[in-house]
Amino acid sequence: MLEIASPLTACTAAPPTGSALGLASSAPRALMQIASWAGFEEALAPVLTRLGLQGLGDYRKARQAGDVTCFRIAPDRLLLAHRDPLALSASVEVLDPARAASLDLTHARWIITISGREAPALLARLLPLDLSPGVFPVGSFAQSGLHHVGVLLHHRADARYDLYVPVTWAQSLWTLICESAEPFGHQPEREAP
Amino acid sequence: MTARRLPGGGRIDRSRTLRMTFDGEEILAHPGDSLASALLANGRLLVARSFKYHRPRGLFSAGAEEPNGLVHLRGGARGEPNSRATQVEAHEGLAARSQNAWPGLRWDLGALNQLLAPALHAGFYYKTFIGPFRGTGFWMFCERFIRKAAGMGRAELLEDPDSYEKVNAFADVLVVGAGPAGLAAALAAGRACARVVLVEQDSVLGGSLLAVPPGEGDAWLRRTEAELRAMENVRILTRTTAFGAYDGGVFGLVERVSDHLAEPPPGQPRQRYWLLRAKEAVLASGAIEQPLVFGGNDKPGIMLAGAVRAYLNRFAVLPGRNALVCTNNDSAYATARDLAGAGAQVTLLDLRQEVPPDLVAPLEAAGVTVMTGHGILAAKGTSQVVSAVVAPLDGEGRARGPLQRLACDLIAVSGGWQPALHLWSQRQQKPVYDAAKACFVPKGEGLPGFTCIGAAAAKGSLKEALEDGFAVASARVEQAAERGPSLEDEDWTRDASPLRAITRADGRPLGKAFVDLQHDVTLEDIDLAHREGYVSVEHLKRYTTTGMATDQGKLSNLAALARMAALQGKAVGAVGTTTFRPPYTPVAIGALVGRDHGRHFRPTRLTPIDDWHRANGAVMTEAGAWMRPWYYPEPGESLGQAYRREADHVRKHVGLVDVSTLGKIAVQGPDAAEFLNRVYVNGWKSLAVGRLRYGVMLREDGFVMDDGATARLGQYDYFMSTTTANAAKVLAFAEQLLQTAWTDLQVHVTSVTDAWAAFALAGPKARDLLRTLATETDLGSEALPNNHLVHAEIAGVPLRIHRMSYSGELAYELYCPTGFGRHLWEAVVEAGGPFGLKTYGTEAMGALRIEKGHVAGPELDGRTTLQDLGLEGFASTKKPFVGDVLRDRPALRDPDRPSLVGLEIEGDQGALGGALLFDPEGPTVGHGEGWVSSTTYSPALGRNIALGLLRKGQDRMGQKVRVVDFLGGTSLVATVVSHHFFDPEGARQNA
Repeated sequence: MLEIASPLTACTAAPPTGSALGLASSAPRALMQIASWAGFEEALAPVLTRLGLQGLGDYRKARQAGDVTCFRIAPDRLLLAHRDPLALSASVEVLDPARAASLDLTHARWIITISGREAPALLARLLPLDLSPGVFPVGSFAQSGLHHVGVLLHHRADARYDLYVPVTWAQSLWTLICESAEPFGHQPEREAP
Repeated sequence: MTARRLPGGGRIDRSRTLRMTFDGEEILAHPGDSLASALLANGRLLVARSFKYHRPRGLFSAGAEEPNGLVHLRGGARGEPNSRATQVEAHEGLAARSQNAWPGLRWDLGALNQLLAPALHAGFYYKTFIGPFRGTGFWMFCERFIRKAAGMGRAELLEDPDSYEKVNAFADVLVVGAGPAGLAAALAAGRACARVVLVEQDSVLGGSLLAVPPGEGDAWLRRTEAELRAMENVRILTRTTAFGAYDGGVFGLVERVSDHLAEPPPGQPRQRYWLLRAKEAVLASGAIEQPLVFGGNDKPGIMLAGAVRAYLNRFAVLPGRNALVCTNNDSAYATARDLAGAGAQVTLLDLRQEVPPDLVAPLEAAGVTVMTGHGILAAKGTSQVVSAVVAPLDGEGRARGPLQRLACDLIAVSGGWQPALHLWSQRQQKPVYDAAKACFVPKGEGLPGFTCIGAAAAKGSLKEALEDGFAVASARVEQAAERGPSLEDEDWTRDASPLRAITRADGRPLGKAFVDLQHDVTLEDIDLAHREGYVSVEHLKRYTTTGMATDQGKLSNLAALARMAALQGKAVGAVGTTTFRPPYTPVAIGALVGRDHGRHFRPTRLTPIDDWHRANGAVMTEAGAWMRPWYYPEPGESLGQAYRREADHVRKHVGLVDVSTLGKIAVQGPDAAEFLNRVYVNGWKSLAVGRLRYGVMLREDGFVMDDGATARLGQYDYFMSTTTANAAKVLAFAEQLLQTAWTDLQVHVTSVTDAWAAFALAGPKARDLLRTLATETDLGSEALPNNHLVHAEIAGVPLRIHRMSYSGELAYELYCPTGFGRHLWEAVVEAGGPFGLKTYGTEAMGALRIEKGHVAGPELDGRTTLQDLGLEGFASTKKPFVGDVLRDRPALRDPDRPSLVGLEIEGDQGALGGALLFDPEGPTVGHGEGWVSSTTYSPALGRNIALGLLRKGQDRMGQKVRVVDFLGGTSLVATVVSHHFFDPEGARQNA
């Protein structure tokens, strides 16, 4: 099976040993948008039930059930991240296309993971979000603008944040993130003169 | 160290000596010194030349309000002009130099301007250089010389080697200023568990406490700082200036991270721009001491009394041994007391006729001579003050008796204090003049979430300042009362006098009396503006330049307003004050830019094939945010040669181009067809699954917005493509319509531009090549005719093949998931070898579409209609669509409107886009009869061609026009032809 090619081809310097900040990137395993209209919850209920999700959730807290993470990205849209593409595809097949629409966005996003004690400090240099523990605890997510590009930030675990970035912007954002990490010990590649 | 450095005291680290230079001369300092204190300690009184007259100037203050001591720091690429010496921290190796002086500070040729001083009054430039001749040419010629002669430092033109960064921060309470009031406020809010950010522009906390003799205040300061630093909910930012206050509790802060070092440590920024969002803001920025206006009040050796006290007690520098202290309020008595305590001979002149005995007696006991009802009429001296003309004064500050001359080497002045309300005022607040306190105070309806405390609220004593600070969190949590340090201090608001100018009996100063030291604005300039009818404070400011630029009214406002009020016979409050604007102090452009420069000036968008293009020699070009392959030159080829070869190759063989940049929008839902019907001018309800159709959409005003092909993938599932340039606009437009006008439609639109890579395979051999790849798919013209699509698999990659053509050749568009794009591209390239496949870039793509007469961005420029572009036939008459009504406006139906035509250019030279079209016999004036929109050399036709919009174009086929490019100075002749230059019947694409 073909692997999804990384859009990142430069600035992949590993963090220094013992760094309080880690930078990594990966392809989403499976990413699907499901959307509906009036009767949103009812229309999506079959999928949510199959995935083990209870209710639609809110716009700040991601819902987790087994291998699936659910982000409510708009009043009538959910973004589902799943570790198993086949399982996700099978789950959304139960949707009635007259009442709801599914859209595979796996290739549309790339995940940049920022981890470590200094992760919030680096993110503060990138996003206008209050990431203090009381405001943005583990499990929170937010959609925001990173260097004018719309991204989704997920506080996946303690000191671990996933940025879902549009894949065609990923390289540009990645180099910016690497340069912004320089005060924390990273040594990004320099722009060619 | 020198005669001026006191042997003991101060808050400097005498265990280390720092070596610095000023104008190449060595300056010794200690950690804790500022450049200003080091200069004074080394006996350097002359530090600058003034803005206009190049008069010798010395340090006037000890803080951000410094009007004179602007220096150029460092050198080369790290050079920074206009730095206030009072805010520059001493460090080993610091190199500073004076500015605005040539050949040097002591002997400055520009000082000849002083001879011209009588002519260089306010408005001199306007009156002299603007108006004598018609137009602005004369002024623009003179301006370069005027700016050279005047002004401040010069910025370096070298690239800054340092980095700057931006940080977002959030707080419950922002406290601006870490003087006693600010510290108390931060302490109280911190104890109440609020998230506090305490901002201090100095390198250490303490504010005015640092200017008083060491003692109880230091102990309290240490305890307070320790407690604050121990609180996890309190962030202390020193070397940080809150320079801007904006709506929504947003504040701009700039932190000078590495300015106190020779150069930033590896990886660290020089400065950091904080964008802080605070629920509450507490302004504890203190007050700024005001100058007194008298003849020669700008001479080196004349300083603010508070500054003298700061140099004495913080830096252990005695600015003068024979001091005159001249004041209109109580606060300068402390300076006189401390000067006397340091061994100086001191005479205090108080402008007030009567002074409370409790002030005078202790001073006289300390050996200070106190003269009430007296003031300085003029300071004397050339490069520094050596004496002063002292006079008894009446109640209006006019000399009323015999003058006497007192020798001195220091004059400390205090014209009262003005709360530093800049941030508060930036939020469109107007301060009110408080006659009792002789200053503008923050009154009014109040600004929710914004509180001024301490001296910033015109609380004149330390006791009141602390009470204000501790009261900040009283609403949050009940706290034990705390008094803070008990210090002997004078209340500057008690019996404050409004007198700020000292003049002769006739009301005129004895010599040049400066209101604004930074801009060389004198009392006479204010008088002149009054005589010329400037009655508004805003006009006065702009005419005289008082209070402009970096001063922002810190030192000049009160004196100017007082003079203006007196001339108009009004109270100061009646003339009002100007509005302060960000920044409070200058901010380096680098800090505002952060990392948003160079390759990060804006984000860049790359297709999944980007690396392949570069690795295979493509010359890339910007297309909006995208980087696209422009052309793939063979050795020695120019752009022109390469694109002609590429386009020709496509016509004769087969070519592959990366069109992943096309906008792609998923349109889903049971009402998707109805949505498309409304958005596009043509009909969509009959489009079958597996078919695709070209569509045109209009704006509401009837002009063409965009075009593209949309495919039907499923019953409720459509795949819309847009032009690269308009993708975001079309998506936003569709979303707006669905959320506002068409809420009845069950449709979702989602950008899938990132999800799909797209390539166009074009040329007579395209089908043969594709057959070798998609072996399981029937690609025959019957199975897959034009405007049809099929799902297929190539090299393990699932994809859709759309049969459609932009080039006019037999062509296919291949859409595959982005992450497999590179794999598919390489598979096609590899398989294409036997077919002579060549990749081609945007330039050749443009040539092919111009030959075919397809419109693109240059034609869809927001000014053209369906009729203009010959697309009227697409518009359905059976259904409404966006723009349907307004496209029928008479102006848009005017038969004289320019319409799309082809142009065959005569000769070897091609036309340039934007060139204007003129009648061959008519005059070459105005905008002509149309313009060239797209231009190329056509390999297929062997000549230069162009698309253009020409008035009554369809009626002028076969006629000649002149193609005039005013920028390039060329004039060509062209024949008007159909814009379908090549294969107008479409035989090739339908093959």
